[in-house]
Amino acid sequence: MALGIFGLLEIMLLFVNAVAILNEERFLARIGWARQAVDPYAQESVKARLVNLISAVRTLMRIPLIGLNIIAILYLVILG
Amino acid sequence: MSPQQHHQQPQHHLQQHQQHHHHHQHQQQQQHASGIPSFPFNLNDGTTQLGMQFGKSAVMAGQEYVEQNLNRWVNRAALQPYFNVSNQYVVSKLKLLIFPWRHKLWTRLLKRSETTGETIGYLSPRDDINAPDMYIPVMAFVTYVLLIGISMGADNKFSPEILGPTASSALAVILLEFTMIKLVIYLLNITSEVPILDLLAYSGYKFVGIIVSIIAQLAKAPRSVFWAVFLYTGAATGFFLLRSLRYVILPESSTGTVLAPQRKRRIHFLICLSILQFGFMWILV
Repeated sequence: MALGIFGLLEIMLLFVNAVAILNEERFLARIGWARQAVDPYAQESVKARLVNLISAVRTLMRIPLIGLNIIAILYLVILG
Repeated sequence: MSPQQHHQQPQHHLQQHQQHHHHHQHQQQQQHASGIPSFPFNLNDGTTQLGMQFGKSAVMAGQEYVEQNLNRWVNRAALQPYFNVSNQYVVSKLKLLIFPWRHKLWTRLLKRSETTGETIGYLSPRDDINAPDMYIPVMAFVTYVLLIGISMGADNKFSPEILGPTASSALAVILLEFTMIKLVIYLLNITSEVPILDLLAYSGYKFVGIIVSIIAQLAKAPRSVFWAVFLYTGAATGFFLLRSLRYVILPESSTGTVLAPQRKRRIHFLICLSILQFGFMWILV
């Protein structure tokens, strides 16, 4: 009963935020998760897919996330 | 009839009406002369028909509007097969969900075109017990919410506000499971096209097991009996999911191309998902 659908959506939003702020040079490259470090031909491995997903989120979701965060903040300020 | 004709008619009758009151005899003569049917005591024509026409066109316009907007947001053609169920199917599917152990054939039947014999998707639930439907999940979901209300009422803790959060948390569980499956399907590079509604249906089937557990709880069964029922329904749901999702995660046709380690990983994922059903059901019971 504790967690409703909006709570879950909020958690997902926070997770996507967390992925989006990962820094390519300072963090991902250091642990070997940079896009260039992974062999482009080894697309099958889970790690390659994960790295791909992170970079996709970082490039693609940056601007939609601004709007989504604003909506979430307004929702929480007014109704939360 | 054109709308202009409609507008002319009432004016005509109005004139007639006035004439009828003020110059009664004159009216009578005129009627005899022109052959217009007598008006004031017969509302069956003119105004009534006009009203009917207006009403009909208004309803038609409303219907059209609703349908247009509904079709924009909901793909009715894609949704329809999921509700194409028969009584026979529902009963046998519920049996299968409660007792999935002896079922042998889990593959879905392919639908063949009548003219060319090519396969065009899968058969609808009416003809194929292994096809996922949305009828049972939706009904089970509503029943689950109401049953939670009843069990709260049995403890004298019921208030109408609990129904909303109950439905909301149940939806959250479905969404969580759906997101997990989608994420793992991406990570494991599973390329088989699986409709979103299939996954939602499969995660919705767990409500049947949950309902059975809640009924055991409501019947004031001893704690041990409730646990036995819960574990049994959890295992049945997990097993059902394990066998049903096989065709999604390990497609038969591409078995040759799937490498051994990857195949192993996918099987592990399937088993994890089945075991996770206990957790999801425990949250909801």
